[in-house]
Amino acid sequence: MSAKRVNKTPAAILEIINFAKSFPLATIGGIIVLAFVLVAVFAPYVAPQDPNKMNLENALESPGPEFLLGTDYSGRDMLSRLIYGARVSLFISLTSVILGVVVGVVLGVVAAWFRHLQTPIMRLMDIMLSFPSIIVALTIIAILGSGIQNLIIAIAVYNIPVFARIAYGQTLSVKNFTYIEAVITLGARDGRILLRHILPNIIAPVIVQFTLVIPRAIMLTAGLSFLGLGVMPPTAEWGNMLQNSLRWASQGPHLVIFPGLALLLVVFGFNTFGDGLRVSLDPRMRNR
Amino acid sequence: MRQYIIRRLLQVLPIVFLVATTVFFLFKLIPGDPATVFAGEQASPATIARVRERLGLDQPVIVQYWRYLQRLVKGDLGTSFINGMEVIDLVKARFPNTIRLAFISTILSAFFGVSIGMISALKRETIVDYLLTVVALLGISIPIFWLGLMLIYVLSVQLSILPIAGASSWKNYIMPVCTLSAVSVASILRITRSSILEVISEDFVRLARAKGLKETRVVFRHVLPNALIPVVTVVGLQFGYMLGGSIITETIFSWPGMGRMLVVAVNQRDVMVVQGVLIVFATSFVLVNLIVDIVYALIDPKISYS
Repeated sequence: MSAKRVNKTPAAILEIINFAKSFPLATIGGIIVLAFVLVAVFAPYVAPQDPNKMNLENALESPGPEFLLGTDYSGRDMLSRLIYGARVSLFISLTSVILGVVVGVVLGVVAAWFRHLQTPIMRLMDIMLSFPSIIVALTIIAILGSGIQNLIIAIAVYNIPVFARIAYGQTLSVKNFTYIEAVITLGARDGRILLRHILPNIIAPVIVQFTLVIPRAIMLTAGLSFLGLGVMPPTAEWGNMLQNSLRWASQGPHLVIFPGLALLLVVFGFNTFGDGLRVSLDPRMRNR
Repeated sequence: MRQYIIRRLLQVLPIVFLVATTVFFLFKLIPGDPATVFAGEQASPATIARVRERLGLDQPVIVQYWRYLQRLVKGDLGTSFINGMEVIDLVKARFPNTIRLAFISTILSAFFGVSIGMISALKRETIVDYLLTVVALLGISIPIFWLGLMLIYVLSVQLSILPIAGASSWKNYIMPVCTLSAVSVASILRITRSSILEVISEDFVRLARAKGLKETRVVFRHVLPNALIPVVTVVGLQFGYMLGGSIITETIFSWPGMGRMLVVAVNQRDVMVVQGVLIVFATSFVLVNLIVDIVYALIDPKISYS
């Protein structure tokens, strides 16, 4: 057992090194994502100050040794607000996408397995997919109102058809394999087949899509907060930080520059990492 | 072909009906009394009751739904709860502005996306290609509201060369078009590059080269027409998505379009305007998707019309 463990660790590291050699840009993306995740998780330990602590004497300080990224119009430390903003953005996007994955995969698998449910479920998913994310999210927010919980629901609803489509297609191809026929012949119940035999075999493309959808969810979270329909102040969130800094842009351009750069960087990280992952798992794409 | 177009047109109607139905019932879930919103918080119970009767809100939901469908067929989208204006008039005043912005942005994105994508593919695995790939990834990753703000900060606040808001002159178009096009240029660039690389390795291209044709002729006569087929779909879909993107862009630049109207209506909880704008947006998306499908069928001989 211990011998196996000894062999397993270098193999995993070797795989990471190979990935880094083949996809350098994706590796940089992965490092950026990891850095943001770590900063978000350990926000209380890495943030130099309380993100909501106001001090009007320090208002609109430019970046310097005391405040690395300057302060906002209320004298709050920008770096600390950006760090806590990462926490909020990543929490909302991860939670909403996970919710979307769970509901979407269940719907997709069920639609593919029980043929009589295929048309109603998949046509509804097609209709939902044909609209831009922001329209779907705005509709949900118009009904439920703004706030973090409703924002999570709105983004999750948009993601449901994305994952339903993938799960549906994958299940259709897996269900024709001989081992599934064998399990059916052995008399296994539908629930057991779906959970034990279908789900583990369709999960890889779902994971790839997961990494590609997260940046869209982050952007949507920030976009809706920017419109005043998502996370409300004083909670630090990149979108609402940009919205609230509009009036002060000429006195303190750093208020507009840094939240946007943070967003750009994290979305770029997820996009490049997701792209690399997709190509590494799909050899047909390697030559493109 | 005609049958294909008629069949696709007929498929639009149930989708629009489904969207209208979903919007109607979803908005019935909103907590609070629309009659009170319409009459105002200070209105007397008698006034609220009169408004409820006038809006038909005292009827059973199914009757309200039937009347809503009847009104919709006649092009009546209801009356704004906030300013009492007909929603269809508000839409008529703003929709052309949104379409104009989306149309110009699509044309420019297609031009730049295809041109740069072509350069990237033809210079494959050179420094130019790597640079353009990174630029495309940055373009896809850039938050458009941030790009809009940065453009305002540099071009309007610092340099004072472009107006911040409005739609009165051609100068007003520059920043909103750049903002709206950024993501699309990057998407079209990527799909063009990938499509050209796929086509360029086909046998007929090798044959064209073997015949001794000049490289420019090979690219423009043989590679591009075949490679651009999937690009047409993406460009068409980008037009639809630009209608969605207009929500943020119009808000940043105070553009008098439907997107900004929707955001204001959601903030004010003006249900009738939100409902109306969503139905118009939804119908536009469905129609754009339909046109894309038809164009695709026309240009790609491999598509079966059955």
